[in-house]
Amino acid sequence: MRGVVLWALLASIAFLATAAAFLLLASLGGGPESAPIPRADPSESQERSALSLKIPEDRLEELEREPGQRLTLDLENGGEEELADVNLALDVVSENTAQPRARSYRETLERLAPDETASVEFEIDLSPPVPASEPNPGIEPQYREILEARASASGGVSDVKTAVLAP
Amino acid sequence: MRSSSPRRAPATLTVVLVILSLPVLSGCGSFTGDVQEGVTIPPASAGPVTDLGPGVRPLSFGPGDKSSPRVSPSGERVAFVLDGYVVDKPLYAQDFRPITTSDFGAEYAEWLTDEGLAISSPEVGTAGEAGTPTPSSLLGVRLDEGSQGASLNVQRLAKNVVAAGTAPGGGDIAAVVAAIPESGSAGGAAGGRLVVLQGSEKPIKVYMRDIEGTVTGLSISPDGSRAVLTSRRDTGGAKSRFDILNYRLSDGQVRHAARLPRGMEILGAPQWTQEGIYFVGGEADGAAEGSENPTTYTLYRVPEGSKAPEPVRGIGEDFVAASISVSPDGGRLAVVGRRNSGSPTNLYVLDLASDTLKAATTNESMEIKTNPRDLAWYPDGSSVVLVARGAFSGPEVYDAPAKALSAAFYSLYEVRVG
Repeated sequence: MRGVVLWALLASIAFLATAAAFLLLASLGGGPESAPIPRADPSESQERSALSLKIPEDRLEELEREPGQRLTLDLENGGEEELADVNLALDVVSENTAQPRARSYRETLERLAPDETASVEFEIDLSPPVPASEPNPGIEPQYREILEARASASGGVSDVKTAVLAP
Repeated sequence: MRSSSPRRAPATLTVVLVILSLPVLSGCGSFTGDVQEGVTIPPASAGPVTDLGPGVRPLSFGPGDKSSPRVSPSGERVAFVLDGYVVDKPLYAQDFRPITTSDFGAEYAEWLTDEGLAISSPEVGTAGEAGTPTPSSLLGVRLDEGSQGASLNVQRLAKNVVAAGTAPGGGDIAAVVAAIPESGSAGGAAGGRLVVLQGSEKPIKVYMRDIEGTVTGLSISPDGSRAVLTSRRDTGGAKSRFDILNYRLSDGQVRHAARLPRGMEILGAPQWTQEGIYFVGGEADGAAEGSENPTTYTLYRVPEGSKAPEPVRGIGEDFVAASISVSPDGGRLAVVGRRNSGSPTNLYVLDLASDTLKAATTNESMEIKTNPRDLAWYPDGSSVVLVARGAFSGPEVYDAPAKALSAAFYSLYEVRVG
């Protein structure tokens, strides 16, 4: 009889020890492992990075909601080494995710010397979508236009900027 | 007689330990049981202060016009309408899952008790007369997780629906008012009956009493025992007259809770609370587009045992109310409005027992949606979800991809109020 009690006691201790091990592992794995979502804050100060993309707001203010709009983006090499094969992608989409009307533009710079700033001009289509029916300003949401620019170069350096145009 | 020898105990113990350790050794160490999809949203205390003030955190990111948020009865998921289609996601995960096609045209979605969704679907070619709601169908959608992956089980729950609502916190009960077109009439949705949905696969309870007038708002009491609805009589404008009806769902008994003065209208659905029925009301005439003196809506209460609405004193004389939602315990009222006509829109919580109003956000620069459906409680009453975006007239540039932005577009925000 003592053997049964002893066996049950030891088994219980073993079970509890294993459960504690599980909980320990869970607490190690369940912590804040996810990186915080990048927060958009235009006023945030940025450290000088190797590849820096700039979309000056004054250039955005000149854009009209029409085709054939010219927008110049600035690319700066803030590093100490020359960057090669600098790819610049500009995607223009509507805020309306049901009808995004994606328009994509691409340019490549063969090289960008240290401390050099290059300007890249795109001709983009900012014409408004053709409404399927008569628009009702009282009900239809006013969608914003999104210009997402991504720059990347060999060596894994990259930068991203998103401009949002109010209707 | 001994069933086992003490010398065998260490060996048995070793075997037990090895068996119990197998899951750990095989890499199944996660014990949380709550694996979130994609990137996890950090708590408000860990994240930056939003423009709505401290203690507020975004629940959604990326482009799109978001509306009608609803937290599931379990408190684990949130569903909302995104550019006319319905999506849902774990409450604190960034990635969402589309429930309907992008051209669906959904107006709202409500959780059912079985964690299914009731989604409004506009009925083609049934546009109501001016000033009357357009009838829609309610589709019951349940996600079946099977060995072959997830699949959607869709069925029509009700058609000719002109108003619908659930208990605050969701899930307890869902109810709709189904329009009954008069024979020979061309469209329009005057009159109807109350029906109650208790789940996507449970029978619908129909109340046979006809409701006169056009039902413009409907809500369910926090305990799920009553439906409170607004019925508009006459043809609209200054001639309209609004009644507030109180349905006891157990036996279908209807009581006229109040009749509003002629020319006064109600925004959204009246809310049943422990202290009476609350609603947002104002003069119907002043709401006309371009009017020089737009209507100032304020909060009214119909006390229990009275049929006369009275302005709620606790919010202040100059308060401009836009939308309200009663808490799951029935003791508080979430109010979106302004302290006065010149102040910014904020979320307030009115303690109904003490009649005291407390600001839950400190908004200065954001547009908060004021549609009554754009306000929802967590089932435990700890937080309120609202929809807002940054207000700007010129271009803005952000140091992040569009899918990671919240304030740039209408997004869901959790506001702690518990």
